[in-house]
Amino acid sequence: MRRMRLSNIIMFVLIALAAFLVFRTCRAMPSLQNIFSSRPEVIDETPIIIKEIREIGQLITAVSSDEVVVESTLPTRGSGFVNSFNKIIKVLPSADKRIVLIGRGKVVAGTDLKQLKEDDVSVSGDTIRINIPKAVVLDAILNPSDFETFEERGNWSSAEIIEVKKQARLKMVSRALQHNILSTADKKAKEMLRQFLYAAGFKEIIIN
Amino acid sequence: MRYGFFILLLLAFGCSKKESAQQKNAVLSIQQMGELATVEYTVTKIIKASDDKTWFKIGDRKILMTCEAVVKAGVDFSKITEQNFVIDGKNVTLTLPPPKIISLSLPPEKIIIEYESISAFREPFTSAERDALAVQAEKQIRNSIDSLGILLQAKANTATLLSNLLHQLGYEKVTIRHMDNATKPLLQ
Repeated sequence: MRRMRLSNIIMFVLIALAAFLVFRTCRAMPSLQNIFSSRPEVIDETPIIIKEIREIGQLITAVSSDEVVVESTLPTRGSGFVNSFNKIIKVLPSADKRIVLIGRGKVVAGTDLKQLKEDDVSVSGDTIRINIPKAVVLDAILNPSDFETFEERGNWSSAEIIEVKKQARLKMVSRALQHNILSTADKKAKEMLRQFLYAAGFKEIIIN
Repeated sequence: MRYGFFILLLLAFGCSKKESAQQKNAVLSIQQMGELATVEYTVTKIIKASDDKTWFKIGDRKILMTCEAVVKAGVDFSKITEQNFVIDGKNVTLTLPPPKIISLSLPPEKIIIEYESISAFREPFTSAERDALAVQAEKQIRNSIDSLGILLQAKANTATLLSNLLHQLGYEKVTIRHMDNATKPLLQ
């Protein structure tokens, strides 16, 4: 009777061990190490739909890489009470929601060659005179992977976050403009076109 | 005396480190380049995620977002040199460098939450969590760019743009060839 019970226990332990190993191999069970860690959220593979195809002619001649920090604080429902209480004795922590983002992106500048009109080009023998459009900021790229959330307190709606991210983009553009990205782009565009026109057979090139 | 020398050495190292830290703070850098973007694709994608895989969390969370990305492609204009041109009077043959992807941009205002469902025991998605999902979408778009046919379109558009420019410069017959397919004229 006793031997029967012992063999049953051994059998049970072996089955439990085998089941555990099968589940672990199939990754149906979390490892003991990560048993209380959250599973990462993975998005589904969905198709990419082409919405629009546009013909452009942008000569990109300067790119500024920058890192900006933006922060926003907004009052919540509890802010009024906490603030009026803190006016009497400043003991309660602020009930405002707060977000601090770090954005690492690029500002792209160059010349839109599509703006070049027929009367901007005049040719006489091997001399060419060309008026090119002034350089403009063509893009300010701050993709989702370019943002890092440094601090997030409270619930932030998508619209509120968009406004903060727009602030980051504006800051990046204004910093690039302060560092004369447009004059750098203009200078380089002239240099590029001079090289192209020289290669195309012109000896005297006047670019304005 | 010996200790004094070591202290001075330490101070010198301390000062030089501070200088490099200050340099690190000036992050902005402007680089010159010469790329010609000739095509812009606007693509859309649905970002779909269900947070129901963690066994100890009661209830689930679902989110559905749409995003729009702008992809630009063209050629490296700085690679067009004298060697790319063959000029014969009023006839010119231009060999273009291979097309390339120039940029991918997912503007924040084009990432929109369409639907969100949160169970009673769960917290709503934070901004950082939504960003993490958008980063995955960005990666998927980046990996699928080749299948959109944008490089082929960039090839054709670059040929048209530069052919028109060369006509404007006074050439009567313009032949455009491509570096990776130099024997076949792309545009004549």
